[in-house]
Amino acid sequence: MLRYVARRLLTAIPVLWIIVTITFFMMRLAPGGPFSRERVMPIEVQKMIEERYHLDEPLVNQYFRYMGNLLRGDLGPSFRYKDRTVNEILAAGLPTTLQLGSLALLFALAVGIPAGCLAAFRENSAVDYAAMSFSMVGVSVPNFVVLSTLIYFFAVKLKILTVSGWGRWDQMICPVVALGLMYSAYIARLSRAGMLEVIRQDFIRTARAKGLPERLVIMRHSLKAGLLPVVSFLGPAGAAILTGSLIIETISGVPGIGREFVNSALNRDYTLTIGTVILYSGFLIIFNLAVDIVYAFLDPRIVYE
Amino acid sequence: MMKRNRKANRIRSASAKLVVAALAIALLAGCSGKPKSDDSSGKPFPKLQLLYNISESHKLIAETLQQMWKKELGIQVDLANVEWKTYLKSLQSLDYQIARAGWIGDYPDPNTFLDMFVTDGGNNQTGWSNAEYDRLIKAAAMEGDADERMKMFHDAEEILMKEMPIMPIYFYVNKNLVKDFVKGMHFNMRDLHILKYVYLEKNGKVLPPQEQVFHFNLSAEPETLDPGLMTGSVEFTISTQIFEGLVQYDPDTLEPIPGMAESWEVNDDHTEFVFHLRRNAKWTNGDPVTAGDFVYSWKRVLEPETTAEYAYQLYYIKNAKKYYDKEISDFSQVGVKAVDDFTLKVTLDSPTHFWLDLLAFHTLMPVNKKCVEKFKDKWTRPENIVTNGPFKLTEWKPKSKLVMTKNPGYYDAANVRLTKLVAYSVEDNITAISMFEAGQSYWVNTIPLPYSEKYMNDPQAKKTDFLAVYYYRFNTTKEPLNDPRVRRALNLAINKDELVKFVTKSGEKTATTFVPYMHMRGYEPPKGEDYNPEEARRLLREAGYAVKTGK
Repeated sequence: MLRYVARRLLTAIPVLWIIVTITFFMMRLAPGGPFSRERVMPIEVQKMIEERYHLDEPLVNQYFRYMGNLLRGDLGPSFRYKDRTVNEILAAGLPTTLQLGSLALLFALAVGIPAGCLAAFRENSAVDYAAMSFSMVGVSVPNFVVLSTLIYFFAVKLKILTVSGWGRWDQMICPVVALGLMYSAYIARLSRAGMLEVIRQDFIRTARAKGLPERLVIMRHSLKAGLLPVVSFLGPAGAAILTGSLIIETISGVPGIGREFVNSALNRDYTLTIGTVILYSGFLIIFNLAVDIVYAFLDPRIVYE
Repeated sequence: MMKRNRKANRIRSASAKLVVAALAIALLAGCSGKPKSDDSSGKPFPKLQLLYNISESHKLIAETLQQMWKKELGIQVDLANVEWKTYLKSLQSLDYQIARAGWIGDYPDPNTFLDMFVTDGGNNQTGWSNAEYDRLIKAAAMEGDADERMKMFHDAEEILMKEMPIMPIYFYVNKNLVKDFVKGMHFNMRDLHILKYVYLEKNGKVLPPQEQVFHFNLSAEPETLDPGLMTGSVEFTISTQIFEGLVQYDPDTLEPIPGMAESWEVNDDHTEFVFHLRRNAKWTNGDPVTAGDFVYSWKRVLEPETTAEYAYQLYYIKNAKKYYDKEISDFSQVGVKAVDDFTLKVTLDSPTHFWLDLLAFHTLMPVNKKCVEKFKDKWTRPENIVTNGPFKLTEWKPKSKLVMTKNPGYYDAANVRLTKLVAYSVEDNITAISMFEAGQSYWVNTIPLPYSEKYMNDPQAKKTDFLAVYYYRFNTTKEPLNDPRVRRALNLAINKDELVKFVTKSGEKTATTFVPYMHMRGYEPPKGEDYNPEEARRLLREAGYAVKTGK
């Protein structure tokens, strides 16, 4: 197992290297640069700025300079936010994005799993239909619509929540719910399907035949097996929630790195873009690995060598 | 093709009705019984492409123009939208045919609008070149006599409008939303807000100091708080509160009034200025603000290593450009001298009538030498920063908010009533309006299009003419727009009154000329051309094109 994890982590290095390289050159291919503005600067000023940020050197030199700094953990200065380095910007935004993402995932699980289980155990009842129609809505409505609606009713009209910002509970509810809602709907559907499959199996019938109380049948026997699809969904979901928070962050004024992911590319803030890309790639790699490991614990048939 | 939008369709049908009505009236009045639409002699007019950067309002305007050109001239125009940096690149490399544009003046003088169209000017971006125009702009820069100078600008703009490398559409209007308990907000042509005049009042009573907290939205995260490096209005909004230049702006007229300088003398031809600094001005670290601080700050901006993008704002000073270009290395040859601690002498290269206006600009604001040299890149952090304005920075949470508190050491602190400013950097303008409506902010500096009808007649909405013009650029280097007659025809076919009334809907003034003349002291604009589709068709025919309209 340990060897497996070590190998996966080692293969992640060339993957990251390729991602960084592709991002580096793709950013340079995009028209315009970090200092192109509506108001064109005099040539001599432009030259000085290019010199300062080494944009006047051949691209290959710039690439090696960047990679060298990267190996030392230095992501460089931000081209747009002149008072800050990329390391500082990401370090300031990352905890917020992680907090938003994990709260949204927790919300999705807390709502999705009970709803799915309830629907499965009361199959074809009113509860089932209610839960599944709700999840249908959750899957189809885009999160920014959910967020705008929540903000409009709870913050602008009722004034019990706050429109924007991050840190207090009344600021966090809207973005967390809006970001997590779609995933709670997926999780509800997945856990319903998983549970339905499991409760029809022989070992559940055996458990019931032994006379176990229904509560124990669910908690001890069905849940672990029935939630496997949910677990395998958690990896992509976790990654998607973390990387998908950009619209939510923009609308809710959450100071995370999701906003940076898009804005930095639009601003041609080369260093900040690569920095966010590295971070997000890291998330994806780690989440995928984590899912594979958890899978092995849950399903005795899976063994890694 | 573009996605059609319900509002746009409504506008289109509205304008279609108007045009049909106009046509009917023309027919009744006994003009030629048959619309002049069958003239098919001449070559067919090629399809054009109109470029704009992604934005709901640019799109609406572009679609309206597309319809008007089709209706009046039978010209097909494709719309292309791209993101900002790609758009800038296309303009600079003349890789477009028609492109939308906007220009905000730096100071209320025709120069800041007209000097951009000189041959090979960096901001020309139309490929247009006219020797007489270049001569006039250059001569105006050297002219000492104010009236003579304005006459030259008038003549230059006349050429610009006759040749029409650009087509003015309207003069911008600022749209601010302010809560009714906010008093002392001033609205001016540069949308510049000096918050030391603001105070909060409820039920006819000025609130006590601890409640004088002003929440507002900045609309973006400031790129930097270093006044020497700033380039945008978001940054300027902050620097205006925490720094103060030699002069400051009158909050209404934006005339220069005493700031760090108590008084000044100017020689007759506007080339020599002597400033007398006030003795009671202090930095937040307790040191007095001296003439030496200005010499240091301006030298810093003019040092190429500082990489100040707006360094050229100081080029008016004698030898300043030479110093930037390293043609001279001795700063004492540059026209800035601290005669003593409280007297600053500035010598300019040539008469510069708007020099005083520039002095309140962020690039020329003083920075504290001790602070900058000690903390280097980190000097703008709240824990390090030293400033000299009415407020001081106490907290800066990136992408979230900036908090400024009243500076008790400010020379005029007795008249500053707000004790705290909280500036949010919310980018989404719908969220910004929601914050305003929920009472979390008291001032928003823009009303997005979906809200413009809601706030049309609301007393909280404050509209003022902006020192800025919305216009279109023509690429004059390529067929068919290399012919001034074609460019003028396109301009004449646009009913700008209708556009402003039905599309932008904020009381913008239509522009038949380029310079926002209403803000210029002593400037008389040339006569522009009004909507005249008949003349437009005539010009197109004269240029050799077949004109087919009336579908």
